[in-house]
Amino acid sequence: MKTLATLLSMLCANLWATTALACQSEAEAKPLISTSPGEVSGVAILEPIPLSQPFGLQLLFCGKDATTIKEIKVGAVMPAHQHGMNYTPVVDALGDGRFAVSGMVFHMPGLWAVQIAATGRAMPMYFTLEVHAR
Amino acid sequence: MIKSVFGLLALFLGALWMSAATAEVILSDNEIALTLSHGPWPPAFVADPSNRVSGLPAAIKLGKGLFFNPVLSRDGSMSCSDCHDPSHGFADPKARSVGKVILDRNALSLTNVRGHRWFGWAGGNDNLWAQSLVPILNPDEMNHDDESLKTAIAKSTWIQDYEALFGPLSEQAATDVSVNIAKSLAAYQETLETGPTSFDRFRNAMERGDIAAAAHYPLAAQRGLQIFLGRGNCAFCHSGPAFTNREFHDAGVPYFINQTRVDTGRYGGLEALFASPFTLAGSYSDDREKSGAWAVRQVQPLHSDFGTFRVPSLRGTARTAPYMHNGSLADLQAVVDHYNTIDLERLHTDGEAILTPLALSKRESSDLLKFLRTLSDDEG
Repeated sequence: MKTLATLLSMLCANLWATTALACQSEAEAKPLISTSPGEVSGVAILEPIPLSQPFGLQLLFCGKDATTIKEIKVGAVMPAHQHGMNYTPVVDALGDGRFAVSGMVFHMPGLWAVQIAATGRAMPMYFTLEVHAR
Repeated sequence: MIKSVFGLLALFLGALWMSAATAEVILSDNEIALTLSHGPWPPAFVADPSNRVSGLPAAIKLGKGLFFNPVLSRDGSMSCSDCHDPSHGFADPKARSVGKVILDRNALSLTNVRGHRWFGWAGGNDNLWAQSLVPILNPDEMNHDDESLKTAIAKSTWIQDYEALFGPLSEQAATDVSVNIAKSLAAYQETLETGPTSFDRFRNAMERGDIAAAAHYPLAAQRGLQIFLGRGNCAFCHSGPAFTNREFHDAGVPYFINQTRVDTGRYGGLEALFASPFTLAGSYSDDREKSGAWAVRQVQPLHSDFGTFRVPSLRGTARTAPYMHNGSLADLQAVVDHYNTIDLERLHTDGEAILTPLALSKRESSDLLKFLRTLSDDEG
């Protein structure tokens, strides 16, 4: 019985390590800043951002609770200008803690803060990502 | 005699040296990079997938003929060109355009419309053909309905051109006829484009690294461009090759039409958009992929939309006075003065924090104007 628990624990640890590794191994990925306590981390893989044109990104969450994330909501604001985007992005869950976001539009040049709320089994987790649009 | 010739030669060489000494590019590397983002111009033509006659010569011919013909007004009293005056950059020199009554807004220029995402001051439509229907069917403007328009076309000299392009009129529903007419008008308007200007020659020379050619751009215009890109914050909204971000902002222009009525701007535009059967997501679009429909599906109504208006392109702008949605600023000098002394009390309290009085000196205002005029000297 003890052996089974040990094996299960090893398997979970291994899974966690695998997803964590997936976050680190993503080329061109930018780490998300977590504003919630917890063991989930995330990265964003950005497409080129043409000013005032739609673009997309992928979000990948890693850590032991990453695969429990069922839904994410994405928005973005320009802190210096006190406004957000004029469009609501579309989010598609791709599985294994990965999400595709489309229909983002940065209509002004400057610093944008992408805000991400992830919900799953536990409390919502919040992340941000700073991006310069030119 | 020889002394005089030498004197003249010396004067000539002196003038040449002076001119060479003053001809230079004063922009920083960052300003040059920002300047390059305002081109190249004009953009390559791409047919509108939502309009099956976009780019077709027969449709352009029909659209042009109808644009200048009063058949599109129910009483035959006005044509599109009455408000969109070709000798005025296809805009209206009147502050508020006049149909059956004095309308609420200044008719926008129709040049460079094919690159827009939203149409009209409030963006009530997401495509050019739907926008073209608005004045035709508005009781305060050309006052047709679908049936009267179909009858007018049937009796007009344009019936053969129409049927050659769209098939037998009698077999078509009246609304389909209206949409077909609008699509031919759109095909014509897609051809109304401003050409390269002295700004574009400057920009293109810098892209090639040809500083000698770039230095022909007047220093005053370069200083104005520096204000436009930097301290003036103009390029926040007037971005990209068309000098517009295609979106909606509060420019601090009063939106009271009179003591009892306000122009709701983008707020009302979105209401019209969501009620329209003629969007890129609808069945009147010829694009099976609905490729442009993402905008109408994803646009987000915001409280701050109230009283905001579309950012117009600045290309050809010197030809299209007066300015702003209600034509309240008579000339470009008045526009610069408006931003120079903008009344922050007129801006949304919960809106974006972008505008602030520019407080430009007389010379700086003059430089900014000189730059703006270089976006309109393509016909010079």
